[in-house]
Amino acid sequence: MIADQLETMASRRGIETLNEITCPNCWQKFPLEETLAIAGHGDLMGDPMLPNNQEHRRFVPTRFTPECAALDEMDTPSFDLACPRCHLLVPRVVLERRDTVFLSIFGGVGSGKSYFLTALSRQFDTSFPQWFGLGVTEPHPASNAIIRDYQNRLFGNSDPDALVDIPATQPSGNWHYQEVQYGGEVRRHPRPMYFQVAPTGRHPNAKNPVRFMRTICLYDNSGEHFHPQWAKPSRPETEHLARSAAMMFVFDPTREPVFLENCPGSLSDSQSEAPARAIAPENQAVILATADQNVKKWLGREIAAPLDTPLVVVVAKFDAWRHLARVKGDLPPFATGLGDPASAIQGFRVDEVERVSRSIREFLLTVCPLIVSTAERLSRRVCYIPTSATGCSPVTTANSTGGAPSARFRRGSIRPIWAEVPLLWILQELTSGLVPVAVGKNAPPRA
Amino acid sequence: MLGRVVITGVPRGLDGGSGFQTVLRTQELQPLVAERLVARAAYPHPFPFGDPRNPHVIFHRIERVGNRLIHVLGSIRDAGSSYSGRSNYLAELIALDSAETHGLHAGPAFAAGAFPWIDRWGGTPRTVPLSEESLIPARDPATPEPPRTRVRCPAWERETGDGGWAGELARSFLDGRRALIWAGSTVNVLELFTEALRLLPVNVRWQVTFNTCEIEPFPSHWRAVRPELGLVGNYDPTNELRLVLGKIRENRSRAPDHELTMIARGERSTHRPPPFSAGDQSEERIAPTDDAALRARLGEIRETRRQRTSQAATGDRSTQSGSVLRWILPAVFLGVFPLMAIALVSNAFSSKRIMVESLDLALSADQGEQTQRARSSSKEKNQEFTRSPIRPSPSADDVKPQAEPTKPDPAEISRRSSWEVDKKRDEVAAVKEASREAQTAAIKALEANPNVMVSLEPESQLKEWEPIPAIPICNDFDVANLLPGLLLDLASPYQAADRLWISPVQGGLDSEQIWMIRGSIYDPNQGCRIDSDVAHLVARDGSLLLKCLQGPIHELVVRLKNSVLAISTGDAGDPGAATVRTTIRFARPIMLNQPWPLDPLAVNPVSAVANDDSLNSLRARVKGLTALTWVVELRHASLSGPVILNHTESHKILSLFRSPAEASGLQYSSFDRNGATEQHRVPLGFDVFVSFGSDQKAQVGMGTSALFKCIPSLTGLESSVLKEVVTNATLRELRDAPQSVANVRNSVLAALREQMDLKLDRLQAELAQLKMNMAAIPPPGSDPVQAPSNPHYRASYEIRTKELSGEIKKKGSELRDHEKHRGSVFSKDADQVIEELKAFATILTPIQVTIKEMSATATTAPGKKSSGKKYSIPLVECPLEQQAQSPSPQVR
Repeated sequence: MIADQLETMASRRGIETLNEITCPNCWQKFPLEETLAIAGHGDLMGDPMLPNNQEHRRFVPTRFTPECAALDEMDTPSFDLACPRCHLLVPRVVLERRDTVFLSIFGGVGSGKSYFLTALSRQFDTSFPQWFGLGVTEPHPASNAIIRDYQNRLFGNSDPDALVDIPATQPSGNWHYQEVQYGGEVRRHPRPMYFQVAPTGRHPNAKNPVRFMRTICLYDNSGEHFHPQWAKPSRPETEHLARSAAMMFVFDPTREPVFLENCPGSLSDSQSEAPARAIAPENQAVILATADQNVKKWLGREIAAPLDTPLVVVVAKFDAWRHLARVKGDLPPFATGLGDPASAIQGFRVDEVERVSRSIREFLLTVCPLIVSTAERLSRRVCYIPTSATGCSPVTTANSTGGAPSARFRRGSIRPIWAEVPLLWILQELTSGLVPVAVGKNAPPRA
Repeated sequence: MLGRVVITGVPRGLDGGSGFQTVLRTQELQPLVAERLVARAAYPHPFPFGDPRNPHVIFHRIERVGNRLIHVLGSIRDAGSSYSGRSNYLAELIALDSAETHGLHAGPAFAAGAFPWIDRWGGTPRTVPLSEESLIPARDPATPEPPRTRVRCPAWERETGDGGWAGELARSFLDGRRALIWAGSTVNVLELFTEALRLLPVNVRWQVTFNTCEIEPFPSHWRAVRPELGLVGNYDPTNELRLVLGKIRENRSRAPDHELTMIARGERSTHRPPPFSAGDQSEERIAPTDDAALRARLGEIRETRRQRTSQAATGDRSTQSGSVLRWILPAVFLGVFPLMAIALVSNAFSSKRIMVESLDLALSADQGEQTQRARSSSKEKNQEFTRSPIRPSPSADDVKPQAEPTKPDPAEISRRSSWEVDKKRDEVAAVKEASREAQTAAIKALEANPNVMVSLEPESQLKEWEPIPAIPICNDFDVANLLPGLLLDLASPYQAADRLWISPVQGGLDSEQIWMIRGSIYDPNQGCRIDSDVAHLVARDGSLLLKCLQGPIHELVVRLKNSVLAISTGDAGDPGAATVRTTIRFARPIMLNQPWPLDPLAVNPVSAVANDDSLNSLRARVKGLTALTWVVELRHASLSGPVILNHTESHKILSLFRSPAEASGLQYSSFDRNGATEQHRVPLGFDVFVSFGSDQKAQVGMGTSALFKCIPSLTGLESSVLKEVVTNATLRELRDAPQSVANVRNSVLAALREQMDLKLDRLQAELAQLKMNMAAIPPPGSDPVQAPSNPHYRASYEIRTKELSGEIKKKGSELRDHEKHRGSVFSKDADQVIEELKAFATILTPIQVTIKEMSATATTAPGKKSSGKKYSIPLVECPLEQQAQSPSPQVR
């Protein structure tokens, strides 16, 4: 009865806000009424905490218009809000309705995090609406400039023979990070990116999208940030790992020493040959172990006890090692009725994905068991999902400046494999009524 | 040089990681500085990596690391592909100490141009001792030798056809403007900057930050942008010098003539540069042959910049500029003082005029709009006053105030026919005359009899009440449905639990619902607990607000504010009944640090309340009534005349009592949505609280929490103790009977000693407890279960003991401080303290507050746009005695 009343109340309200907000930049929690406003007047530039002079001044709102816009000292209505701790912008979508789902993507240098993120966001326009009736929108487009740039670089070229790439994510710079001045110390916070997933079209819950909608917040960090020597209190770049609702560890087996040792000369990825052969392989279990230790330290948990936070081990570059895995042939369809245009809506086949996960786990146990043991010490809900962000090997070309050969991808060959599956699995784990899930092998999907 | 770092993409860096890593570092470089240098190494490739079009960026920036300023010279370039086949860059950054730059007369651009930057990394990661680092050349051989030789700017002549543009760029820095140069890829921007810097005085060259090609934005003074890459940052577009080199050359444009451009063209000899001997930093030795006008201008610009920039953005430059100011200040003083004097005089006149204008406007017909106009007019005049007297270029700040509609501008007059203008003027004059008469009559009536109800509105305004169509009531929060049991439990951090009752209350604005919270309150007069009203629960705009009806220090109110309210549903006697826990959001944040009771010392809540009949009449006719607005007149001994306050004008009351020196410490203590209580803390001797609310009252109170901060002879500890023992009564006695100082002194001293002793005991007890806590933590290995010797417990043990050690150290220091002062403070300084208290007590003269006007606006629905129509509400005077007798006003 109470729930019904609350629901009725919710439907009668104009904007439902959260009582406690988590800042997507510094992950500090604060009550709604402590939110700062960002001045709207052009003369009120520069904030003492933000080294970037292009930022407008932040202020405690004391006066409002009838539309509830805060008035700055020049009487200009301001609609943007900021965190009281770090003074960085907090989009209104974070304040509204439901808690934002923070997702962390981490992995070693060159493991393909940015490529994976790009391929995943590419699927937002294709498989999410077409197969599962999920509309993915950008609630704050200004924050998603990075991912749009990635998409343009990788998928924007109309020439199928063009060689494309995504530049290495750098550990500093204003493009990926925002600086905040805490006294004499400058800290960098990664720029958050926001997506809103809501049922739409033929989805069973499409009539009430607001109730089932979820906002997702993602970050793209440089791999250097996950090195053990990076973690310091003054370097909060990776703190989102502790605040996230789910984590995705991008594991590149083609750079794993044990993997290369166990499967010598058997990779079909030219990236694993020259020039990458020349590099020292990286033990990525160290990255995972560092994340494990840091997250538990930040959360105040016992190191030996796994967390309940879902962890997806995204085993990347599947196209390079698919013949080694114990998955027969291609990966099975992860949605019911794929290829059947008569199917109204397709269900996410969790059982099939988890069967593949078990198979990949067995495979990893054979070739690099440390990854499995470390992942399962970090979380008790681990899923191993093979993906390939590009679906093809890079083309190596000699560098005109005389440096190491460069690796780029032929635009027409890029076909992501299972790039959206990690997110679908996480969403079905964390939410209800959003991802349509296939109950049995041939059963209709349920939402 | 403090040190150097080189960063590039390598499989293994100095610190062991892969990717973009430090591969070379000066051994003596401090970690914090090194970290900041690494943070500045970013190169977003504008073109595909390996493309020769990728620019080589050289920059100079000034950074604040801890409490010191460092200069960073950097060179970042594309480095093709990295070991992994991905994009790569090569960054080399040098840190220089601020003091070190005094010996480098040539300036940062020359230093950056002469430094041997590496263009390729091929070695193994390593550290280099500082002694092996390359030296930065101190002297630019191209700088003309003294005395008074001519300079030329060949690079500028080559790129623009007129060397004078170098002088224009140099002038932009002295004018406090940023400069943006559009330069193609073939232009050597660093050379242009070097030539322009030669035109500046030696002691300001290192204050110029620059960026030779902006791909990573930072707000430098001079930055170059390639046309094919476009703008990255946009810092001060309205006040920025923009030079498009290609256009200048194409159009053969000539730079405006002034001293620097003429020097740059070689048409005039330069001022003599300072001697280049090491350690020759005294401005007195530089000054005699320097250009006096240039120096004066530099001082003015620096002053302007100091006022305009925020304190944290630039950091403390006193180490750099202190010596410069020694010779600049007299010149600035001479130049600025007459203008300041003029500005002060004109401001005094104008502020007086503004006050009169405000009074007029507040009482005239279109009250809201005109009050707004008066406010903006006031702001502009204040800005004019605070602005530096010399401002070379117009900016948005210089926009003239809007002309009042009562005085149409001449162009408009010429367009209209003369009879129309005359008619309009007559009408306006008549309205103003009526308002003025009403105002004069009202003031006279108030002076004659303060208890009489006076209408300040011209009769014509009262006739404007027009009902709008009724709309269905739309309440956001349905507490009655949520709480069928109407019981409220305090789940408080305090030991005792209280059960409160809530019941709906009729009245309130149309967009509100109000419930009364009642509870048992101990009545000292009757010696028992009686049921009393504690607070109002107001549902408004989707929020539950708590408006306390008892005094803010009342025990139950404090508990209510510190509680999470557990709202019980169902049968109160059923322990298993469902409970909904909710957090009440307050109209104001709780002032946890308020050290002084809010019981006002000299409250003079001469207040007015709305005439219930007229308000009800208005409510009956106008639906959706909301956003009550008050206009209050404030009089105080420290003011030359009355000041009109509008409840939306929070800034005015702050500016009344604060001193300029303390303006930077001014803080808002609270904030809220429309119409609820507003409180502002004024850090000069006393606090002023102006409360407006939907309870149709306005009150002004004064507290003394900040009083003791103003007594210079007190330490922080003493002032905190003093705050606890000096009561309102004491201060009142000091104010009313100065001769009682001796009595007051004795009582204060006695109370002080007692409090100091109590505090000492408490500190000792806390210290002992901390030590006990410290001893209770078992060391690793002492217990296999509780304290194992594994690294996890060891780390935990170290953290806990470190924290506790810190606390013990802090507490011990506080205790020692207290013991040191206990015996001495109030023996020698007590008389002085009392005298100062007495002086401050004189400030506490009553504050005269009169509510002049009350009006309301209407909306069609909560959260919807206002209909824009204002309705005036007649007031009745509410004398002080009546206020005191009815501390819990009922909301109707």
